[in-house]
Amino acid sequence: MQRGKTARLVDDSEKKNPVRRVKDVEMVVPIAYGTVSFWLGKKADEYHSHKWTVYVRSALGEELGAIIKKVVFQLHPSFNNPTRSVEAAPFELTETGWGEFEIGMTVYFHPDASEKPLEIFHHLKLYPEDDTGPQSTKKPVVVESYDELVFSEPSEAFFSRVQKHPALLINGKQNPPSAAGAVETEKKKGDSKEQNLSHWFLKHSDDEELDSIMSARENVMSRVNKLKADLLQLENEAARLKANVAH
Amino acid sequence: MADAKDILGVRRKNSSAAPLNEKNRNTTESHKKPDGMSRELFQLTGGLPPVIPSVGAAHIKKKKQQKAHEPRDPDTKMGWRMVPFTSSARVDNLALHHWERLLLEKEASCDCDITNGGEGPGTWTSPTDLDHDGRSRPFPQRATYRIAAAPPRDYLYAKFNKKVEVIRYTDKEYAAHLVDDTWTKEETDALFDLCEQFDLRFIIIADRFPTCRTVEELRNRYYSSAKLILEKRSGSDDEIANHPLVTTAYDYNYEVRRKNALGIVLSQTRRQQAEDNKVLEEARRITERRQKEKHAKEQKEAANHTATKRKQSLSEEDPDAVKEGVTTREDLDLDSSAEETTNPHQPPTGADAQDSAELVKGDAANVEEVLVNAMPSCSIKPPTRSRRLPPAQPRASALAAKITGGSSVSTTGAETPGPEASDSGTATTYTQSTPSNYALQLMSPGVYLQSKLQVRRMREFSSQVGRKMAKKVNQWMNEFAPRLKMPTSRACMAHMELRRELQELFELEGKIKSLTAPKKPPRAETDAAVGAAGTSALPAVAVRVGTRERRRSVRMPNNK
Repeated sequence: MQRGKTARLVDDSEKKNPVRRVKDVEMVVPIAYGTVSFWLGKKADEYHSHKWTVYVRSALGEELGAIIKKVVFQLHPSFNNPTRSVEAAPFELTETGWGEFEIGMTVYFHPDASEKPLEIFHHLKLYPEDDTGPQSTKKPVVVESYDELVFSEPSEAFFSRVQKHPALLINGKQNPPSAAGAVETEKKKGDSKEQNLSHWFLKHSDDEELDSIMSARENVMSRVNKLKADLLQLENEAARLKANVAH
Repeated sequence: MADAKDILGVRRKNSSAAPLNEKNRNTTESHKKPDGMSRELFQLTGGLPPVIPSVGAAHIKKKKQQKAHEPRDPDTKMGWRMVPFTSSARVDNLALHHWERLLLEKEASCDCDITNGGEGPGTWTSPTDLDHDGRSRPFPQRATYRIAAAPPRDYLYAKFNKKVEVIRYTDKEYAAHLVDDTWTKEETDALFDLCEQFDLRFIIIADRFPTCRTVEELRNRYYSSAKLILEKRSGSDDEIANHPLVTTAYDYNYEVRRKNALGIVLSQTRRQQAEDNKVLEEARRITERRQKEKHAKEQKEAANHTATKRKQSLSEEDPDAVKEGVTTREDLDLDSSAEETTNPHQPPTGADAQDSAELVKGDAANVEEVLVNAMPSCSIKPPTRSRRLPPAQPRASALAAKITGGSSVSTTGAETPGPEASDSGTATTYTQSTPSNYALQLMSPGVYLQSKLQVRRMREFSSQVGRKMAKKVNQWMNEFAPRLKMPTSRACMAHMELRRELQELFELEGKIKSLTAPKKPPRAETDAAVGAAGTSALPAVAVRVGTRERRRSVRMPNNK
């Protein structure tokens, strides 16, 4: 039977229009997501004691609007309309409440990316770890996590559109950062309540981790080498013994 | 503030209470007493409502209200009495007795004096006089009740006595309209009698019919006759237009065929069913494949003409052979079913089509080029299995090795330590300079979260090295290496590298341990042989020098 189809076929969902992808390209978008929560102090009541903001942002401080189409935040069912869709940057949502719960964030990409949406979960923290002393309305409780969106073999259309985007790395190489990113953070100045949230964003750097990993690796490698040497010596001995026995 | 936290159960450093979620606030009492049910009754059921409520809550309430609304004479009450009853459903006048709850009224003659009113002491009331309370009693308070007058009611279940209205013809009518070649008058009469007796249950009628007739025949005879008689009796067509006998006529031939087909379907054995399903499956696959081939045509210009040729030859093929090829191909292509994952991806088999042959004829670079070009154009679903490639092996040859090696076709996560030629350049149409030590991970196309990827890598690592080794590595990592808080690509890579190095370390340690471990030699000769040889050995190297060594040393003295 003459059937030699070596090509792999498209998924059923893409039957009509198979996605053309760029091979050997890995796009990494470092993001940070988390919550910033302010105690409302005097203005707090039983059901609205904290004002908090949940967000998804670029860890490099750049805009994600070109990559992310919308983020749907899934809140606790006791909230009105617990499914909140944020369709423009900045992808954040501010609410008032009293309880801590897990927030689900579904990140939808632009259609040309032809990607399924991604789900992230984050536990909203209102109360600080050390419960000494009264809460301050000025200092929020910030819990932020770093993660990366890894696009393996992105679609051609998507790739061509964003390859120069400053928010992402392509195969490890970073694009030049935009000046606009820095300006954005400066611009955001509201009243004292609407504090410039970016002020509270955590800085993420993997240098420290890398260093510790590197030192651990060096340690391990040195031990490995030493053991290798020992092993070699032992094997030599064994060979020597064998030779001795042969006599 | 601390109290508020206490109330909420917020986690503190020294306490272990989990934070109370907002969810708990909205706890509804899942077991609520249904309305209309008494509390005690509900508790009797264990505090759980019945699975299917037999009586609705509204119904219970309604009944209660109804009962309450009846203003009743204080001299009356409800009581149970054994009464005779008849049923309109019976043709004889049999009168049976049963208990009934009836309205009773106080006997007017009841007084609270000792002589006890109407009934003196010692009177015996006969069974027909059903006033049981009338027995003589010295106690004055006892009142006697008799059944209050009430309109007679029919037996409760008489209404279920439904009968079918079977049309009976007169002899004259028969002679006029119903004479038939195949049916005698006696038969027809018997048929109608049985119909009336058995309420048109033709299966029974057929069973009891004196002569041998099929159910369809009987049905046909009855319905056609009845319809005819009905039409003749009624003057116009309008009167009977709505009669079911007229609206639904019995079609003998159709019924016979229908019963036949039903019999066939129901009597099909399981085997036959399976065969039928298989054939249907193949048909479906063939149509699907044809559609896919259409798509493949659009995509691959190179194999365009061969594709069309293939499609034509396909339609003439034997379904079995098609099926074979289908399973191999489809499962390779889709990789959706688990059964065929072991099917090797072997282009150079003789049965395959021309284009693969062409590919094989070309050099290795071409092969992988076409394949790699084709591969990522589809989304591949299988789980990635990371392969540890020997360092510095270019990815191109790795792919080629995979192809010819006949391993699973899923893409691999190639994690090569140290500097690596990231793009081998042959297989990509897109080139961009990458940093020299960026290790590309080949995963199926899509978008992932780095942290999840890391979890997946760790799991793969664990499955690769085996449980004990994985446990050792993990323990070490937990002690000395930090938790990966920031899963950047390079941090993740470094993390995985560290694990590999640890694996190497532990393996080496294990080897050395096995070499240096003191062990009792099993045999005496071995002892002697090794002992002789071992006296000059290093003190660190103990008796056991490895099985091979021992055997060799044992053998050598013999060979001398």
